[in-house]
Formats: sequence, C-alpha cells, structure tokens
Amino acid sequence: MTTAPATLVHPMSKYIREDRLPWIYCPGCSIGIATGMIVRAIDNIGLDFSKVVFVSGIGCSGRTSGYFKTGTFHTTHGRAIPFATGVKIANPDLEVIVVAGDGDLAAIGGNHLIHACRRNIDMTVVCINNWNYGMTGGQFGPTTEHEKLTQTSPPPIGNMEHPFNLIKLAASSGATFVARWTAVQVRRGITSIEKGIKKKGFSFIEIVGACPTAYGRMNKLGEGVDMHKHLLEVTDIQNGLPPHEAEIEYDKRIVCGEFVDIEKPEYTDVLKQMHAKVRK
Amino acid sequence: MGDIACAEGAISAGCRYFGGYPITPATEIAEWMAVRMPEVGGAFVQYEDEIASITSALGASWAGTKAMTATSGPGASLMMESVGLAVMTETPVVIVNIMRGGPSTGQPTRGQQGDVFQAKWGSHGDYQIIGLTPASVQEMFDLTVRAFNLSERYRVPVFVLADEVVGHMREKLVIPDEKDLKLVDRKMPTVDPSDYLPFKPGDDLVPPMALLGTKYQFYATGLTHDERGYPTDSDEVQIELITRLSEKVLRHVYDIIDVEKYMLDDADIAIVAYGTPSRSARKAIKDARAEGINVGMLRLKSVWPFPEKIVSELGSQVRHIIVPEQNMGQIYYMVRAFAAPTPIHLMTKPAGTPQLPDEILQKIKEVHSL
Amino acid sequence: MASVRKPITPKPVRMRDKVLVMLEERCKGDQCQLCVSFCPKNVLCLTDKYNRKGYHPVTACDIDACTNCQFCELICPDMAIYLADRDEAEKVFKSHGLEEGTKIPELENDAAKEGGTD
Repeated sequence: MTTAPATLVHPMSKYIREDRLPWIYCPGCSIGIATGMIVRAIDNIGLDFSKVVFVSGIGCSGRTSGYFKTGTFHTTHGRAIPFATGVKIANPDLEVIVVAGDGDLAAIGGNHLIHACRRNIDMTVVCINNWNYGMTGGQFGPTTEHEKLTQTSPPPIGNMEHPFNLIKLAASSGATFVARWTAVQVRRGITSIEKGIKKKGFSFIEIVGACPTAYGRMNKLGEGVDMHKHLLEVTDIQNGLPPHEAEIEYDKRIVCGEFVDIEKPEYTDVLKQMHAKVRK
Repeated sequence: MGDIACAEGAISAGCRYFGGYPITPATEIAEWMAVRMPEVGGAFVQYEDEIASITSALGASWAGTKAMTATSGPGASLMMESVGLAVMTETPVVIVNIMRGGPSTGQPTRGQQGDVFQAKWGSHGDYQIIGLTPASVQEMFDLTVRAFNLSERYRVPVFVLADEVVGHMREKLVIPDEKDLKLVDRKMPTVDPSDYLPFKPGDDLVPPMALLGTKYQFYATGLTHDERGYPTDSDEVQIELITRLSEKVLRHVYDIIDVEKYMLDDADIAIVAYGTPSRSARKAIKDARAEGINVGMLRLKSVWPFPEKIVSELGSQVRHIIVPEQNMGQIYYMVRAFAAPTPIHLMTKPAGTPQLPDEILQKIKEVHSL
Repeated sequence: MASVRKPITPKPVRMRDKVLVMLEERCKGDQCQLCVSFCPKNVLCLTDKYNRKGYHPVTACDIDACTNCQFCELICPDMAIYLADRDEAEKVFKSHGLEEGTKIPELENDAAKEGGTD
C-alpha cells in the first residue's frame, strides 16, 4: 500500500535535469525524441544511472548530454568518441553512451568513428542524423543528399557531393551492432538502443530524424510533423538485411532495422587478458 | 634515456593511462609505456592521431586515472583545441612535448626550443597553463612527477617541454623509493551529491573534482559555464570564469615556479637559460669565472607561468643579461619585458646543435667589455 | 479430440488504467504538434491560451477515445505529455498537489461534470 505521492512527476524525471527544461531543440525536432528514447532504454534495462556516462560532441545533438542527470560531458567537435574511449578504458565498469550528430560523427569525427569501430571498444553510439549541420544554420554535411539545398550549397547548384551511408560505414569498419531507425519508430528504436547498451562491443544506432528549421525549410519538406510523417511513409523495415543493402534516400526509401549483431573480442576485455598474461 | 626517464617518472607519479601516437623524438616514451603499462596494470593505447590521444587522456582523467600523452611539435599543434577543453573543464593532464626542429615537419631528429610559446599561447582564448623545462635525464624523471602533482593540485594541463637532446641523451638516473616520493591527488568533493556544484571553487580557486560512477552528477562542457556547469552567455559569468581560471594558476606562482640560481650572488652578468643551452652555459660560466668575469645563471625549470618577479629582481641586480635559446627568441621577450631597462642580449640558434660553451663564453666576454 | 470448444467466459471490460497528463510549460504546442498528428485516435488538439514561452499548449479534446497506447508520450520531444497511473493521479488531483502547468484533462472533465472541483 503506497502513500499518495506529493505530486505527479514525469516517469523519466529521475534521469533528467529538470531545471534545464524546456530544451533548446526547435519545435518538431527529432533530437528530443531520441533523447527520450535513450532515457527509456536505460529505464527498461534498469541500469544504475550513476554508472552511466554520456559524452557528446558539438551541435544540436551535442546538447543532449546536458540534459541527463549523471556524469555528462560536452566535448569538442568530433572528439566525443576518443573522450569516451578514454573514460571506458580507465574505468571499464562505466556504461558509456555517446550521443552526437551526423556532422559531428561522420565529418570531423569520421576518423575516430571508424577506428573505434575497428577497436571494438564497448560503448553505444547514438547518431542522430538530421541530414545537415543544424546548429550553425543548416550547412550541408556528410549525410546531405546530392543536389539538396543548404546554406553552403545554395540554389541553383545544390549539394555537389554525395552522402555517406553511416550504416555501411560503421558495419564495414567493424562495429558489432548496427541499427537504423527513424525518430518515428520510437519503440523499435528503444529496443535497439537497449540491445546496444547491453551488448559488450561497439554499438552504432543511427536515428534518422528531421531538421524542419534548417534542412526542411530550405528543401521545402514541410514542418516537423510533415517531415516525420514522411519518414514514417518511406521507412522500409528489413531486420537482418546485410548492411551493404541498407539504402537511405529521404524521398524514396529509408531501410530501417537491425543489420549487424555479431560477436567479436572487445577491447577492454582483451586489455584485461593481456594484463593478466604480462603479470603472470 | 631522457624519454624513458620521463615515462618512468610518470609511472612513479601514478600515471596509469597513456594515449599516444608515434612521433620522433617522443616515440620512445610511447614504446616504453607500451611495455610498462600492462606491467603496472595501466593502459597504453596507440590512437589514430594525436587529437584522439589527448582527448582520450582527458576522458581517462575524468574517470579517475592520472593520464598523459607525449608528442612533439606537429602533434602539439594538433592537440591545441583539446588543451583548451582541458583548461575549460579543469581536467588534470600531462602533455610531454619533446621539441624538435620546426616549423611544420622541420627536422624531426634534431632538437630545438621553438614550441615554448605555443605551450602557453597555442590554444584560442585567454588561459594559463603550467610549463616545465627539464635539462637532464634526472630532471626528466623529477619534473614529470612534479608535472602530475601540479596538474592534480591545480586541475590544469601541464606541459613538460624538453628538447630532443634532453629526450635522447643517456645519463645516470636515480629512481627514488616509492615512500620517498610525495604525490598529490586531486581534491574530491565532500558535500552531499544534491548540493554539489561542479565548478564552485574552494578558497584556493580550485573546485573539487567528482569521480565518474559515484553518486555525484555533473555537466562538464567546453562552453562557458556557471558554477552548476550549465552553459550561459552572460558577460558576468564569462569574466568571472576566465579570471578565475587564470588566477587559479597565477595566485599560486610561489608554489609553481622552480628556478636554479647558479653563481648569481656576486654576478654582474647573468645568463637566463633553460633546457640544453643551459648545460653549455654552465661550462661557459666556469670558464669565464676562471678568467675573472663575474657571471652566473638563472636556469628556468618552469617557464609558465613566467617567473616575472625573479627575473625583474635579477634585472636590477646585474648589468647585462644573456639569453641563449635554440629558437628565434621566445623566452627572450618575456625576460626583456620584466628585466628592462637592463640590456638583454639574445643568442639565437634555431638549429639542432645548441650554443656551444665556447660560443657562450665568447658572448660573455663581448658583453663584459661593454 | 482435435478441437474442443472452450466455454465462452467473457473477460472483464478493460478500463483505461492510465490518465493523460500535460505539462503545459514544456509543450511547444502549435509549432510542434507531433503528438496531435500521431495520436491514432485523434484525442489531442491545441488550446487557445499561451504558455510562458508563447506556445499554445496541447490538450485532449476527445479524452474518452484514448486507448493508453502511450505513443504521445514516446513521440513528444520535450517530455511534456505522459501517462500516469489513474489512482495516483486521482489522489494528487484531489489533494490539489499538482504543480503549476500540470493538467490532467480526464480528471478535469470528470470534476467539471460533477459540478466543479471540491
């Protein structure tokens, strides 16, 4: 028999720095949804939240670390992954989660991303892909599609470059868990993030979202609601598909699902074994 | 070898994390650490570049391990953004820079002293760091231990600036017993976690540093932040924060500055030097004294924060000051700023071979006749 | 016996055991509208009033259609709408323990039907 609570609180409030609400995200932005997904994944697993560490980069997605009520870090552009690697190696009991955007992780942080995949260090990277560099006003980035309009790829030319496919990048670099969901597949995303956290190895989860204020406005994709409805429409769920077939094209088809779930020796495990070997 | 003494100094100081990247002439530190770190239960990781090396050392430091990285000029240039992050988040870390010919790729196998100013001014914005300059193999050990102590005490990145000659020379090294080494660990918070303000300083302007994985929650960001760690764009907070970060180091110069006064009591010419040229100067002084010239040396074992008062007093004590440097003049400008109007004579030699004792003796005689 | 017809025992009618709670000060309402559009039963709509940040917060226009699917809670980017246990919510509501800006449309409707809050 429980006594009535003094007041009602949001079920996730114990994980959130409530004095920092409302968040800085634009209305209709997917980053808030992704933040909620991560929190719910942690709640479902039942982790000791004081052992969870968030490291983020720069940008709108980088602001997420400021909202979790644990040890959180807002590092320099692209360097969230090495920072997180240092944290994990120094204290392997910590659960390290990196939240960063597509520009942060795949452009300036690209080198660190592929090497962390290769090293298979136990961390969970949630990449929120909103197709551009949002915080600085909507410049094109490594995931902006060809011919799309952005602040640095203005009409009439549009983007001359072609985008990365982050799933293919992570998978071929050696990540042991790779998944992609859009911000609308909230429950499935939560499940994948849970799996990624629980798994011992480098987990990469791409959450495809919308940036209505910058990317959406310049390419006439509509408001947040319209973009999210569109994402739902073009999603093609194919769990278990080989990663090299996980295509992503905003207008036509975004293949979602869990593509890679393999076992490989994990860096901190091997480090411990090597120590034991040397000390013997 | 100097590099190895530096690595051993780090291990004796409690360093259990080394993130590095091979670069001549600091590669030996990484290679020695690759052997020793597993032996002492630490971690050696060779990263994909220097940026990952330094950033991961910051992460390891926050996770509670004393961390370091070692590099040379080109790597130090890459690391500068992360030095800024370390200053802003007040992360203890030790960065060893075995200086080589520069700029750019320069002369990788030849020592120079061209990175001294970079250590202090390399990153953007206003900040203070600590820079130590060893001049012998024993000092590579001792000053590295000191570097860890200072970085933990003041929560500031500390540079160990040696040149390639000191890094690669071989001399006798005495490693003290563990019980004889005085080590400093960072201050931890004692308040209740719900009252903890991560960037609220103590009376010494240094905030206590919480450990990850405990009940303390905090937000460490490179953005300008208030005591709670939350970003703000207020002018007052910016001024307060930047001032405190500087004052944190400057207020404690008495504790940080380390110089050697060699034969200065009756000197009327002084040599201000650090690193390898100071070794040549020592011989030159002995020779000059034998010829009756009263010359002495102020050897800087720490260059940042600059020992302004000591140099200023020296200026009023002697008639001339000679500054031999293996660069185009860096510490020279600092000496000139504080010892003026005493004439300062610069001996530049931005090359791998330092000023030879005869060259310095020649200069002493020249200056003596003025 | 290949197929045995089991006797029909009607299951008890399922009641909504959670209520919708709105945190109006966090809501980005008219500019966002994710919960309004994605609700499968069209329960939610916008109000006319303004919250402190200048948005029209969301409320429930057709709360009886709510099936407690929780999708509004999951899709909200700002933690502004959630489902709370009915009993707990009723206790807090009746003891006026709700914080400023917290609205529970179902309980408010019930209270209004009963002729004002007690």
